This record gives sequence, C-alpha cells and structure tokens, in this order.
Amino acid sequence: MDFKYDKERIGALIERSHTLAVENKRNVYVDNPEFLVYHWSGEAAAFSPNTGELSAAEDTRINIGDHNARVDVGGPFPFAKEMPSKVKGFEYSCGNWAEDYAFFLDHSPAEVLENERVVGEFHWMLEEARFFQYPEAQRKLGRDARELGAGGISFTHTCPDLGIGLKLGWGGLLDKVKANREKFTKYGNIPSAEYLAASEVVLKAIMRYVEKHADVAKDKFENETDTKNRSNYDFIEKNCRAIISEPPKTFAQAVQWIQLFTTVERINGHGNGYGRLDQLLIDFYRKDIKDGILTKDEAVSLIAELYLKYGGNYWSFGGRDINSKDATNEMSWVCLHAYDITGGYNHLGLMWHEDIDKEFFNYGCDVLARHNCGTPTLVNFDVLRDSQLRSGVKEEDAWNMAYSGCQWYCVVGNEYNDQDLNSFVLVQPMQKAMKIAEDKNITDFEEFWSIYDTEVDKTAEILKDFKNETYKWQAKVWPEMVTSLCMHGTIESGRDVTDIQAVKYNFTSVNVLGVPNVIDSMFAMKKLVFEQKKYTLKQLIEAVESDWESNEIMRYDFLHQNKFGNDIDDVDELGVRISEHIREILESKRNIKGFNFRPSLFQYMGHTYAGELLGATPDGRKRAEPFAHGMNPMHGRNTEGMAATMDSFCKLDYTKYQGGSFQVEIQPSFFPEGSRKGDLVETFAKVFFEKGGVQINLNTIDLEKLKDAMENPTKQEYKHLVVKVTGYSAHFVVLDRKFQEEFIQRVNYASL
Amino acid sequence: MNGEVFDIYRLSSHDGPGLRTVIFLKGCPLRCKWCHNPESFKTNKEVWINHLKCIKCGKCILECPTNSLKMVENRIILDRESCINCLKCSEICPPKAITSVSKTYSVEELLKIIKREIPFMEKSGGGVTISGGEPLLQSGFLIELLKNLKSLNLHTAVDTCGFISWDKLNSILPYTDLILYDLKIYNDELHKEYTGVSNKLILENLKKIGKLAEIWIRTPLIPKATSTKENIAHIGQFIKENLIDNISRWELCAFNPLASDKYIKLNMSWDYSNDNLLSLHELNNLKNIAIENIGVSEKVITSGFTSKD
Ligand code: SF4
Ligand code: SF4
Repeated sequence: MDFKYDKERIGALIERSHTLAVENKRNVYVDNPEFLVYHWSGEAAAFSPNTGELSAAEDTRINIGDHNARVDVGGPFPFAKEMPSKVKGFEYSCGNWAEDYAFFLDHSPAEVLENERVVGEFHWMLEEARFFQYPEAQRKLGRDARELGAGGISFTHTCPDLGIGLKLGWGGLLDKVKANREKFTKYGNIPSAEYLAASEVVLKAIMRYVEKHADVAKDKFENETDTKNRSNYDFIEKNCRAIISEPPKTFAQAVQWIQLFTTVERINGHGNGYGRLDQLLIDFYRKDIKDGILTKDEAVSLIAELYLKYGGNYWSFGGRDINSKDATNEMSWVCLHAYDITGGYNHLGLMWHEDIDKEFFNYGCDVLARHNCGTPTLVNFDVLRDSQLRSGVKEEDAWNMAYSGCQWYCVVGNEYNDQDLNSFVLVQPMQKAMKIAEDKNITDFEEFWSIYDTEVDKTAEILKDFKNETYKWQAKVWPEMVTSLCMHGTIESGRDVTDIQAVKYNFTSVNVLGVPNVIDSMFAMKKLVFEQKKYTLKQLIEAVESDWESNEIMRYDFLHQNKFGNDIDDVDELGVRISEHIREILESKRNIKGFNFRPSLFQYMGHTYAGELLGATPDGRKRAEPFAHGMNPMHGRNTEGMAATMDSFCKLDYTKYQGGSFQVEIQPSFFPEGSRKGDLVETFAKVFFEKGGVQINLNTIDLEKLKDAMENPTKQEYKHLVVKVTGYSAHFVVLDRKFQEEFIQRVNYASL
Repeated sequence: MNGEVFDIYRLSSHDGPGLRTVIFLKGCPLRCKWCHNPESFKTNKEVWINHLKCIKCGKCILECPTNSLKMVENRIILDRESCINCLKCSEICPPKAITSVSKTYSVEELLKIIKREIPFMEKSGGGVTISGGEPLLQSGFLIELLKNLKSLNLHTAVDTCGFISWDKLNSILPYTDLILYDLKIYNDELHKEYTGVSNKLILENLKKIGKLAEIWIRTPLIPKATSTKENIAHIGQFIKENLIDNISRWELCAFNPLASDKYIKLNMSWDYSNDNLLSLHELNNLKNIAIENIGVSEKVITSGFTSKD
C-alpha cells in the first residue's frame, strides 16, 4: 500500500518512539517475582511506581517491558513534597485524592514537541507522589491468600466509553457533574454530592491542562521561524483551544481530545482499553471528508501519531454492530493503514467474526505477518460476546464489546471487571492436596480429587475475601475519577467506577496460572501413583521436593506420560475436567458488588518466575523450568503438531471463560519464497476461530537473531525488534533476561 | 496394511501447494552423499542414539538380547553388526535417548492424523505429500494410502527420486495429483559417484511421466556436486527439450549442513557437516542460469537457507 503522508515527520516520530523504548524510558516495573505470580507483591498496591517512596529498589524490581505510557525524564516528580496530602494531611477520600490530582496536573508540564500534530505526554504518575496503599486489614488477607495460592490488586482495567466525552466535551461533562451534584445536595445524598464536588476539581484541572497545551503551542509558534514547524504549532494550538470546554468538532480535534483524555487518565497510574476506535471516529471522519476538510491520508497520519504517542493503548476494530451486522467501516481501514505506516510496538485488536469484511480481515492478517510484531491481535468477536451473554450481560450491552487488554475485553462504558490483575495459582492447592492425601494414606484417584476440590475451594474462598476487603476500600484509596467521567451511570449516581453500584457489570476476573501443568501432573499421578501404583505419594512428594535429585529415572517416568496439547483423549479429558472445575468453583463465589468470579485461562508473565517459588511438579518439570503459559501446553510437550494442539486447546468452550489466548511461535523458514505470509496467517486464524478459539497471538521468530540480540542488545538492527510477549508486545532487547530466555524456549512449531 | 514411517511434517508449506501433511516412508535405493535423512536409507526398523540425552543408567545394556550395547568411556556404543533391531532397548530407555528411527502406522492411523489437518488444507489449497526415502519402495502401502486420500477428496503429491520401475511409478498416477520429482545430477558418471546409482532410469521415467501428470522438478543445490553451473544448465536443457510444457515448477533447494546430529545418532560419518550455506548471490546466479536454459522465468523457484552476501 502506498500512503501519502509526511514521511520525514512521521519517520522522526517513529524513530523517537523506538529510541524511548530501547533507552529504557518506557519501562514498567514490578516489585518482585511474587508480583508476577500472585499479581501482588506484598508491597505496592499496583505495579511498582517508577520513583517516590513506594518504588522498589532498582536491583530487585523486574522490568516487564516497554509497556508504560510514562516517558521517563529521570528523577522523581519535582513537586512531590508539596503535594496537598503531604502538606495538609492525607485522607482516604475522593476529595483528598482529587486535590492531589489537580495539584499534580497543574504541576505537570504540557509537552508540545517538534514534528507533532497531536500532543499529550507525561513524565510522572500520581502514585509516585501520593500515598497508595491499603489499610493493614486488607494486606493481611492478601498475605494469607498468597499462602493458599491467590492474590491480586485492583485498579481500572476497564473500557470507558470515550463517546460520552467526545459528545459532551470537558465543559459538557462539567455541566453534567454540576447538575447531578445539585440534585444530590438537594436530596441530601452527601457522599455522592461530595464525590461530584471532587469530580469538579478534577475536571477543572483537566481543562487548565488542556489550555496549557494551547498556550505552549502558541508560544512555540510565535518563537519559531521554520514554516513547517509553525504550521504544526498553529494546528495544535487551534485544536487544543477548541476543545478546552467545547466538544471536538473535527476529526483532528477528536483525535486530539482522545489523546489528552488518555493522558490525563493514565497519569493517575493505570491503563484501560479505550474501545472501538473505528466506531468512535467514524462520524467525525465522514463529516470532514464530506466537508472537504480532511483526506484519507491525513486521517491515516493522525491516527498513526495517536499510536505513536503511546503504543500501549489498547484499541479495537471490526466486530459487529448493534444489529449483529459487520461493523467494519472506512475508519477501520484507516486504523489499520495507520499501523501499516508505523509498524512496531502496539496493541490493536482485530475482532473477527464470520461475516467480517473479507478483504479487511485479510489485510489485517497481512499487516500482522509483514510487520511481525504480533499486531493486530486477532480475536473472535462472537466468543467474546457470547461469554458475556452467558455471564448475564444484557443483549443490548453485549454487542458493544471491545478487546481491551492482553486477553481481556469489556462492554464499553458499562463494565468494571476487575480484570487481568487477580491470580489463582492452581498448582498450590494441588500441592496441598498431595500432602493431605499422603497423610491420610489415600490410594484412590477420586478420593484424591475430592481433597483437591476442597483445597481449590479454600483458595477461591480466601481470594474472594481478599477482593471484597479491597472493594470496600478501593473508591477511597484510589478512585478512578477520570475514567468515571466516561462511564455510563457513574456521574448520574455520584459514584466512582470502582465503587459498589456504580456501573452495570462488576464481575471479578481471575487469571489462572499453571493449568496445563496441573493437568499433566494430575494425569501422571493418576496413572503412576493411583492406577499402576508404581510409586507412592510419599515417594513422589520427596522426589519433587528435592527437585527430582537422585530420582532422574522416576522423573522420566512422570515426564513421559501423555501430555495435554496433543489431542490425546485421556489426558485432554482430565484437562477439561480440571478447567471446568476451577471455573465452577470461581463462578460459585460472589463479590460484594453482587457479581461472580470468572476465570481467564491466561496469566501474562507469572509462568516465567513461578518455578523458583513453587518448585518442581509431578509432570516431570524441574524447579528451574518455567511453567506453561496460559492454557498453552508446556514448552516442548506438544509433539503432535499445531493442529493437534489446537484441537486439545479447543476442547474447552471458551464462551465459558474470560479469555485464553493461543500462542503460536513459528520460524521464518516456515514461509516459502514468494508466498503471501498473510494468507497463511489468515488460514491459521480462521481454522482456530471456527473451532471456537478466542484469541491467537502469532510471532515469527528467528531464533539465531533473538539469541544474538540477547548478547548484543545495542546493535542498531535490534532497535526495532518487537515481539508479542504474551498479550502485550515489547521491544525484545528491553525485556528482562528471564523473559527473553523463556521466549526463546517457546519455539514450539519448528515443524508445525 | 502397515507402513514404516520415519517422520511426519505437519502443516508444511514447502512440499507442494498450500499447507500439507508430509509423510516420510522409510527405505531408499539411492545413497546420496549429502542426504539429510540417513535414517531413511534402510527399509527395516532400527534404533538410533541421542547421546546428549543419555543418563548412563545402563538399562539398555541389560535389556539387549544380543549384547550389542556397551558402555565405553561413559558413552553407549551400539554394534550394528550384531544388533537384530528388536527395539527392546528403545522401549525401556528412561530419557528416550535410544529410540526407534521409525514407527509402524496403519493407513487408518495416518488418516486420523491427516484428517485433523484438513481444515488447514482446505483453506490454503493444500493436501498431503508422501515423501521418503523413496516412497515407492513401500508401493503397496503407498497406493492404499493414496486411494484413501483421494476418497477424502484431498490433493495428493508424491515425492520420488524416480529410480524405480516404470510400472510401479505408473501405478500410483491415478491417485496422485502432483509428482515432486528429484533431479539431482545430469552427468551419469557424477550421478553414480554421488548417489550410488545411474540416472538412466530416472531420466527415462521422467520423460514418460512428464506427459501424464503434473510435475514439480526439485534439484538440491549441493556444494561441488549439484550446484555447478554446468549441471544446472544441463538439467535446464533436458527439461526444455523433454518436458517444458508439462512441468509447472522447477525448484532449486539451497543446501544446509544441518543433518550432522542424525549421522552421529546413527554412528555414520558425513562429509558435509562443515559446509557453508550458499550465499544469496550464488543462489541467484544459479537461478539465472536455470532460467536462461529453460527459457521460462516464472517456473524457476528457489528455497532453503542462504547466507548473507
Ligand atoms: S537406557 Fe538410555 S539412558 Fe540408560 S544408558 Fe541406555 S541409552 Fe543411556
Ligand atoms: S535393538 Fe535390540 S538388538 Fe539392537 S541394540 Fe537394541 S536391544 Fe539390542
């Protein structure tokens, strides 16, 4: 495809984006390996803040990749000591939070950089300056939960409806907040009135911040002599000034509005999915094209810039509309073209369904294959929707589904699923069950299963208690007041999106770690311990506790039992039983918002570090080896080819779960000379989706290149090397070494 | 009916059109010096040893009925003279260091594997390729398998070296949509030197078959042996004179020295372990020679690994 765009300007922005990544200015850190495994470090209430009192030591924290919206400029937030909560006193309240937020935004610079026509970036997050920690009662439950194999943190991982803000503008949102505040004051609902008073503080700060961008652009315009730069600054000033209060009127203003929304939202610490970009912008696009003030190429470059600002924002395209028809439109194409220009790191979701525009889907597959950065992610829209319907989401809401994160998805604007950040380490209840069964001299598999059932339930129960304790506090500890502006029902009820009874849907979603290892372990135990009685449980426990030391022959016995992922019925049946069991147990638990827990057969990175924490397992795995990633078979254990793995994988009904991505790593030599790689990718994806698969992450991996990149990370040629790590992408050279090693081990389809 | 299969490639995109299941049947009448599949030479079952996996437990030695296994300097040594290929050692070896080279499959068992991949074949215009070794050495099994594949409406391809009686070759044609025909060396003396057999029959068969089936010619580019300008030019001329209208493709496959481990596992020596990859430049030169000689550019395809220039 040939697009007419300013190659020099966009090229410079692309280069800057790669440079920021490889110079470690985009890193996301977590406190320790425990965070990856349990999604809670025991310390920070979120990811590890980059600076400030709550940040982890540089030598112990783990870098999970260039997945940060924050652009590092070195050093802590310069006004951290002057934060209102530190000068006047800290309180767990939305008013106290809002005052800090406003101060923080007022003291954050408005960045207007050369070559830009869309602006908005930040250098510190609020959690680097404001205390973010739950009371001890919550933390104690967290530590207890970890003993049993569960954990989690809570912050927005949801999908606001930016359509609300695009329609009202900041001024319209302010009017809405004021009107509701008056209503609640009149009827004496003090907490809601107070919440909305705090919202006003937040909104006014945002409006000042937008205006500051217009002023900085104006200033730059006046001091610039180069005509091209002047024209860019002028463009920015006009767009920013137009949207200080009023809703955006043009396509360019809408893109600018979106970028500033995500800036002021992410600055408070955490990220959301932002919905269906093609749906959000289509009306602006059509109107401007009709009015003759926009060309397709200009639209493509503006969206390309939006992606480059921060590629970690999850956007989605395609899917179906309210009448169940294909929702692909001209804007969907613009969105993909824009990525075709930038390539590299990004998080875009292409939502397939049987009726999708065939050319569009083929183009998406082609883009994925050519750029080879795992973008766009291919997801099965109907499975997403049906899983929501199954959970009780209403028809009128379920159609508006957006792929919103690594593997999770949301009803746009109506759902606060506590997603992706809760963990259930299924290996732990199994290990506990083994000990109990040994004590009780259990010799029958079904008796062992009933002990396992009890232990899994205990873990689920304590996870529920821990989350409920969190929910009691969340809206006071860290309200998500910017997100709440673009949710349905939050302002109307004067309640934060994180609060009880604020939005329609409030499931708790849990990432289950190690399911394939539990399947393989239980199967091997069933055969060798319970059926053949070749080993006793005592022998087995001793062997795994010693990491199979001096038990090598026994280890091979366990290792060579049938393994999940090869389309072998007996072990796959147990796989379905184990997965269905954890699902039923989680679904039987309710949070204090009245919604059940839901399992996701995915866990983004815990499998890399879990080995050392959990030790060897009865599937023949040694301590130092990683666990399986998500529901994918353990590395090297799928010996019957990808079709067999797909068949095993798809024996589960994914409408019953909340996600479970299929990871495919293939070697470049797989694609013959002259073949259209995109067509092969499309074949894989379609076969997988027709079998009921929900998401496919595809990497073409040149092993030699990756190994060399590990040893020589500074080589220029590796600057642009981006891989789909799990549900997110990252520059390979920036990744933690353990992640790199695990990634290289994955090449599971040398011959498919 | 059973066949001896030494490998199965899943969803291969290199052995015929689209995505294909490729079944490799054991046994070959040629002994190409560069062969990547030395485990395919013999038709019978046999074992091989991956020494890196061996944990030196000695179990195999105790199991062997003919005392063909010994531990010498901490390494398992197999005496292939006395070994009766009973496979007992491979059945008990804990880490699967000793394994059987091949596995016996019934047609039904293979069909089960193949059926799993049908959706991929349908969407990509692929099918099933039977390769070897020389698959026609197991011609009874081959025909049975091909018949079954055709009854499933699958596209079938057979990869042959052509060193086989015409009758046998002819017998598979009703069930074969595409023949992948290996043409290695045109000069008969060199052919004998490098493959152990004369190429007369191979060329004769090719002339005949070219009129009856769709053909892809495949020429491996082996340093010093097949990748000479003269050889490529001669093969090109032969194709032009005899079958240019009948072949749809002539594929030049760049050689890679990646079969050393297999030779070690079989305790055989191999002259090619240290050879370099062909450079992209050399490959393109040969491609140009091929095109000049057959006179049709779109039919010449290159594949395989090359080094950077
Ligand atoms: S049985 Fe296997 S592991 Fe043991 S010595 Fe023989 S080859 Fe080695
Ligand atoms: S195959 Fe049989 S005869 Fe040959 S080494 Fe193994 S056990 Fe001995």
